[in-house]
Amino acid sequence: MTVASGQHGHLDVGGFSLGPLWLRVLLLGAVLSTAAFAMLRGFLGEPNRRTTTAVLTATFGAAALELLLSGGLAVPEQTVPLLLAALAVPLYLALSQDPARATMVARARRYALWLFWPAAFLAAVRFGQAWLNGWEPVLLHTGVVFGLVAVAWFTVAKPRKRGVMTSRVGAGLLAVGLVGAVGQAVVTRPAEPTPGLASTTTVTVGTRQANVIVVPNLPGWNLVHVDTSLEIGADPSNLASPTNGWLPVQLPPGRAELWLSDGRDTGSFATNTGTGATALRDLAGPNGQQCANALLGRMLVKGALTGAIECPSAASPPANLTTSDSFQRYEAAHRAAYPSLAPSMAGFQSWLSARESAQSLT
Amino acid sequence: MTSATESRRLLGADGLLNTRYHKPALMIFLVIVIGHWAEHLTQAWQIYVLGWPRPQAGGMLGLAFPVLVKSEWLHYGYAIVMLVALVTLRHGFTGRARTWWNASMWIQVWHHLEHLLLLLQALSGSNLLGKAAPTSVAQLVFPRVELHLFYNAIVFVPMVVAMILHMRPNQQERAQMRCGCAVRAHAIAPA
Repeated sequence: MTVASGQHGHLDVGGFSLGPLWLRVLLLGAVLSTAAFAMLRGFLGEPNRRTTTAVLTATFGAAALELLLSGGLAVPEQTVPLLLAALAVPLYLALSQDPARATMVARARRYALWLFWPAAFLAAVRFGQAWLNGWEPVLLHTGVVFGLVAVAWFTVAKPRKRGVMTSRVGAGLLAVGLVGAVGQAVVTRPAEPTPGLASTTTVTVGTRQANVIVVPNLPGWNLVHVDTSLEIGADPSNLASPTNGWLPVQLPPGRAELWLSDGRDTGSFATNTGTGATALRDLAGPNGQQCANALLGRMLVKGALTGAIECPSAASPPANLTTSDSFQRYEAAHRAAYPSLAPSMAGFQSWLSARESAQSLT
Repeated sequence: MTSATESRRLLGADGLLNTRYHKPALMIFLVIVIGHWAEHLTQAWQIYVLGWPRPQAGGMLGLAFPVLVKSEWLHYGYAIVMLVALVTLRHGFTGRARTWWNASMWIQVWHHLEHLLLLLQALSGSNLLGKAAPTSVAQLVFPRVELHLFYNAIVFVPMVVAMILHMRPNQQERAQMRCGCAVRAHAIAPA
């Protein structure tokens, strides 16, 4: 029911989340089954319909799992349905028992190797490119999907004598490549957001692209910054407008979903707040924005925040500081950045902290 | 028209659901499908005519019970119910009606796979091609189209055509029918 939101509105699974590990286990199992068939094909007799269907189902399932786990492929998105169709057709050829289509099915299976070789070539090219680019996961995943398409057509192929041995050797080599590539791709998955390190991403909401920052990305109160006028929240039915681009949002421990909406379309992204230190209540207060700046500065210097995390103190700094040039510079910078907020000592301390962080980086 | 030696099984070509109880089973199924449609159309009305924000457009029951709109389990459950009904009741159809019913069934097979993919994404947190939110395959080609409203339409239309043809069969189709769904021959014959 897309009507419910811009993406796909019904995402609630009752707080029940299994994480992606089980998908990776299923992927490895499915690819191993497919590869084992391709490697052993030369040593076994003609597979029956049930075996062929089981192998092709595993191949199709492996490709679907690849699409979920890859984080993107090195092909245009619009070609993905074509790749799925290229995996579904062999399944149809294996299952078809319609006498009216028997001739067409037999002919398609006879010439199936004509699709096996180009797909195997594309897979080999992607594996080679991945090797030359430090085992780039996107290239590996793309090669695996092409390889699965090749193996699917090899599985269903019933060629005449000529070319049989060559295709079996080719499929065996491809199967070895598939197992290695999927193993490598699964362990070099895209990095997850780190708890205590500001999480940044770009979210599509309708036709708009919003750059989002979550500070400090810990359980409890966080400040979320968005660079365009959107409503934000952890609950899609309870969103609020930010002030100066910032909004305090309470996030749960572990995986957390943040929602953005322009009133018509909705987008979301996932972050991981971990289960350790809890974010500060001060972030939800009037000086939260300055505190978030100070925390961002600390993250730039120290990396992820751990242990006892505090906003710069609201206590008055030494008297000479409040009359110094730096306080006047703070007031000027504050008025420019946050015209609706009154300058404060806590804001000044945060401003000083952010400046110290910046100076230590230069 | 029921068989002289009526089966006591519920399912299958000779099963009660495709013979004696085909008509009531189809009626119950139709009520469920129309109810679901009413929810979709109400939601579309709330968004496009009343201008409600999408997260607040919950249809009719969804306003009182938001879980009905939000729960991926419920949506997947409905896709399964649709698929099971289309598969189990197909044997009762004959001729042209069977062709239309099968078309509806195969479209629902794909629609159900799309929901399975969405459920897997919601459960695992791994979205298709690293998208920000769970995404269906067709959304890669047709972004921002009200896909599932469209899916329901292309399942519903051939289903209704099948039911109408099933109620008004030609002679050959009527001879093959083993249920009481057809309107009596004299009721539709020209005077």
